[in-house]
Amino acid sequence: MFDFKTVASVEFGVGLEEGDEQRFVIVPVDQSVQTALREMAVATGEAMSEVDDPPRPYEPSQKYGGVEHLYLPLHDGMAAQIRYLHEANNLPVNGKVMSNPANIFCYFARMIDTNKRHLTAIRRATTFKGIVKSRLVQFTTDSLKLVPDTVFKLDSDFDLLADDEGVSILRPNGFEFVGHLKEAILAAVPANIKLVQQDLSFVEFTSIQEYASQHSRAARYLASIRAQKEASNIDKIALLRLCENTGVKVQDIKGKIVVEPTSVMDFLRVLDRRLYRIELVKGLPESFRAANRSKIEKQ
Amino acid sequence: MGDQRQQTGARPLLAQLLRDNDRCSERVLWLRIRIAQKLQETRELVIGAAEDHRDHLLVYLFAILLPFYPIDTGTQRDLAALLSALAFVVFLFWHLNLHYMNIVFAMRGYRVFTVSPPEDNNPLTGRASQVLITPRVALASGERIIAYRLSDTVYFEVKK
Repeated sequence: MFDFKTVASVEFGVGLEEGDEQRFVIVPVDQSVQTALREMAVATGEAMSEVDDPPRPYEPSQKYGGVEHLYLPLHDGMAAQIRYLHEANNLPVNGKVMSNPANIFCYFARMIDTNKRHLTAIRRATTFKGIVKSRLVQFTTDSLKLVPDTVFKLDSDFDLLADDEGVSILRPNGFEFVGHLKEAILAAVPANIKLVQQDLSFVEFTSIQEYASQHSRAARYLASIRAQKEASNIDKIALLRLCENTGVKVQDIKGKIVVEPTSVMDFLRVLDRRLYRIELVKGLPESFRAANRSKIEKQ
Repeated sequence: MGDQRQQTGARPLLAQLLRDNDRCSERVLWLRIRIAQKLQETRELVIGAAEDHRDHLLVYLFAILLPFYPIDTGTQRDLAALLSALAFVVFLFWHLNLHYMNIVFAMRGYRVFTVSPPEDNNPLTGRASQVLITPRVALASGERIIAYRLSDTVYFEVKK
């Protein structure tokens, strides 16, 4: 675990959006900014612990609140963009980029403790507008200086913290924005279909792949089904029964379940345990669709 | 008579100016190091490949010793030629990013390495080479060093 008491180095940087391209650069900062960044990272860890401890696994299909405590292994495909930033070596240095803050979509801090453990903290730049003063001492240093006026507003905490093991998420929205999750999940549809298909050999996935490639919500369900291994050991009869009970239109053709194009979303919801039926009133079964749900583990 | 006075007076003055200029650049460099230390302007450099550029010292010595050659500075034309040559040397040092070259570093046991980042399939990893002034005699690939930043491309590791 990263030790905030023995921080050996703190780097500050920003993510820049230039047309369709994004790049990350280091901006030199003085000790006062480094201290502020370290305090922000500590505050982020404390805020996470207050929400939920231990964290819940991140599920792309879930509709989250503004502040949560979620976790994703660093080598998960959905954390690819964060992993790239965390593991990038010798990022370019350029203090001049601060002269145009409109291009900045995020800012980050990279820290190293005396045991050579690394921590990357990232924040989506929503309040990162305003006049930025740099090069206060031009001849000998071009470091940014922390000045009493609000010329460069840092937030009170970060959206996420990444270490060598995984990504701890405080604000899922910030993580999804900085991590380009929408694009990553849509790009991962063919690979996810392939993996889910191995568990559900009795389902025809052609229409599902076509639909999920164009609809990010369906792609999120698919990513969640794959990540949580929700397709393994599913019983075909039980699946057909649940589809029938929840109004999902499917056909059993030559031993394969074929999903009608209008029912692809609901079929994915069934696999992601978001469509279910209960019968608390005898003879009056009710079907429900859950935008948010969490599994109750056996006590 | 007037020409002779000009000739004998100009050469020591010029040499003095050059020596002062050299001392001044050294002071600025050491001042920059002290400021970097005070501001804790550190960063981690990861070594991909490292080249020892001790031969750059020859360039440094050549450039520094050039004005001490017995060039006749008695006429304005010779003086202008010498100043042009000196300006050219300063420009080259600046343009080729050789401002870190300093005989004092070598005397204190520091070496200057040109460090390339490792090749790691990470699209965000920097591609530019950096200059690292370090007391280490060799740098191994994959080594991680926390060094003070003197400029965007020049870093300094303190002797422990």
